[in-house]
Amino acid sequence: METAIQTQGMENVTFDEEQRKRVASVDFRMVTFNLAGKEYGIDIMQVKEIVKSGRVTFVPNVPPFVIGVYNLRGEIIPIIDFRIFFNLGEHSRDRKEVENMIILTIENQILGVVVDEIAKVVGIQKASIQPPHPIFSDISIKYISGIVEHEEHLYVLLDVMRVFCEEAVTEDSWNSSISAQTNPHLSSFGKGAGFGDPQASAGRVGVGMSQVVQPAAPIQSAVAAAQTTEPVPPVVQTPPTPEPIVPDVHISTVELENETAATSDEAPASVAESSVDVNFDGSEFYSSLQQNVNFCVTEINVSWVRRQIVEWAGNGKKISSAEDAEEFLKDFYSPCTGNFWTKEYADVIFELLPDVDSKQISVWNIGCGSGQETFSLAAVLKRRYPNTRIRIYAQDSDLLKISSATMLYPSEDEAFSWMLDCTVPDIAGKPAFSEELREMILFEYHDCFNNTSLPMLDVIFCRDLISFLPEEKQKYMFEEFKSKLKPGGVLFLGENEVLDDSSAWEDKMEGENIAFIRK
Amino acid sequence: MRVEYINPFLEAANNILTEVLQTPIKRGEINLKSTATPVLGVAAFVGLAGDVEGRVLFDMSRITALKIASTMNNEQMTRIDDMVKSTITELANMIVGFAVTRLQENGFNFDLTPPAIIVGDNMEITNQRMEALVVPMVTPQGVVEINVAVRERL
Repeated sequence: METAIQTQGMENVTFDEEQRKRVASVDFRMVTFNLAGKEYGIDIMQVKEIVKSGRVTFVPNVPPFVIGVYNLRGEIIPIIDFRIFFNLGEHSRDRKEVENMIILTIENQILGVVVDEIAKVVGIQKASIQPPHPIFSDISIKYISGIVEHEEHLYVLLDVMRVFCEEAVTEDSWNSSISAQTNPHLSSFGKGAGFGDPQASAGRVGVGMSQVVQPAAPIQSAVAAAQTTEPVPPVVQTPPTPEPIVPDVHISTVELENETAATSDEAPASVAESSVDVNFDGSEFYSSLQQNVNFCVTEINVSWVRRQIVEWAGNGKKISSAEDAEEFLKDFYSPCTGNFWTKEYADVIFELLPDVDSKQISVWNIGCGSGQETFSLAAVLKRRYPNTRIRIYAQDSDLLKISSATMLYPSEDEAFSWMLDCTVPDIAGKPAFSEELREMILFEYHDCFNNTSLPMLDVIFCRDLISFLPEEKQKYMFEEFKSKLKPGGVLFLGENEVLDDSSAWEDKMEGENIAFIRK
Repeated sequence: MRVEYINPFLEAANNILTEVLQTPIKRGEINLKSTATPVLGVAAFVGLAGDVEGRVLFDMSRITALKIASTMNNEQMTRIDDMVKSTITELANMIVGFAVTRLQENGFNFDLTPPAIIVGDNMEITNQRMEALVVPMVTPQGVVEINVAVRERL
């Protein structure tokens, strides 16, 4: 493979002297593969081998992206489908079909990943790796360590360490992982020798292969890196000032920039509205809102707050107590806050919900209070997706409210009669929510400041909550939303909350109501 | 943490502690933590499995552990010996056992692991990607912190 790359390089007369030097000093190799039409690379130091096989054994009770286990010469390893893992759209799987698997060694653990097509091993120079651009790939940027160009192909470098050990990208774990990588031969030898003769020889074949593809230089540099006491950066070192190496790369970045410019033109009109009077000073109102009700004025609500301040200041009113602040915010809250939804509002939400073709829908309802919103949402979801399994994770950090949510009864008010489909009479003959509806909802006492384990979500329902979090927490929540929501999934914010991030979200309007679709 | 799980644990802690210590118990403020929490000195640990995965930790200072063990055994204990450890383990087992029975009645399927006891200084416990419900129970012998971290199997 190495010779092939070099001959190609020499034949190409357009390469100048400097580039020829670059090709000659290959110090980083990656296994490249194709996934949902894009090309990716994984550092070869983390790849044990490549396997083509269809004999994956299904295992129950595992996350959906684990398609089963595989017997790799006597060793049972889990197999993960990268398409499902990164939400790139599942393709129908034929049991007899041969899968392309890359076997990875991560911190002495072996696992296999299924990709669409494995291309080849590509040698590049570390210095030519450029930092990732957020809109280049479908895969969350935190899993990408860089982008590299090679022979007119752009490869997205996946950082598998970060993919599979999400929490463990600390300095220590890097040191230990690198030192663990330094002797992959030893460990695979040990494993091979443990089995009977045929397996042992098979193990040696594997070792032979990896010796061919793994050049000595990266191993030495890894050893050196492991020995230094300074913080060790991730395996891929990005140059301080990334310089475009080949014109092609340059062109594509320009294209990307154009794309960003084009999308930002379509930003919601409210942004323009909010920047009408630049000299506006509402700092007094802002701080009193913060002090009295923890309401934090940021980009997402500033346009509404300004309008309201203009009105209040016009009347000479001020916020001096929590009651004043509540009075000020009276119109901020979304329709039907703290109550069941009216038929009109339910219909709007019905229209805004995404089309989903999977068998299960996961919904995150943060700040559900005492459950009226959740039950209304559940009734709408049941009507919208009659044949789908629905799971709503409803969370609130108010223990009293959330405790009463599980025992909630439907309102008998005429306005909420549309919900009667989802009720059954209880022992006393009063309508109660049906078992089916109750089983959809999981009420949890949870503080959104803390970590939680949720599956990938189709809908996030978070009305009028973000505005009451401190600014840095708001940013954190939006990052959470971005990483937890499937592409095409929908985020609902409060009626007067605006999300201005056209790189990741697209607006969907229904009347005056707006939802945000994850790109 | 699922709302339905909270009450059985509170009820169990309250009932059992009141019964074994023969005195009314006050409950401190319930809160949620996901950061590393210091362990006070003596901790009894019970694992949970079944519909959920998680654990319950009963955490108290050495002095509290000694006083509780003294009260439960009706004799004065002066150092953390096998008898004290065994008493605290039993207390943990009783409380979790009571809570799990309640949960079974409500239709949740929980299994327990045998309790273990941990004694030491400067320890802390961290829950990766899990949130812990912390309930301080204030007894005349001292504070017993009940730390429950469970999550649904996805």
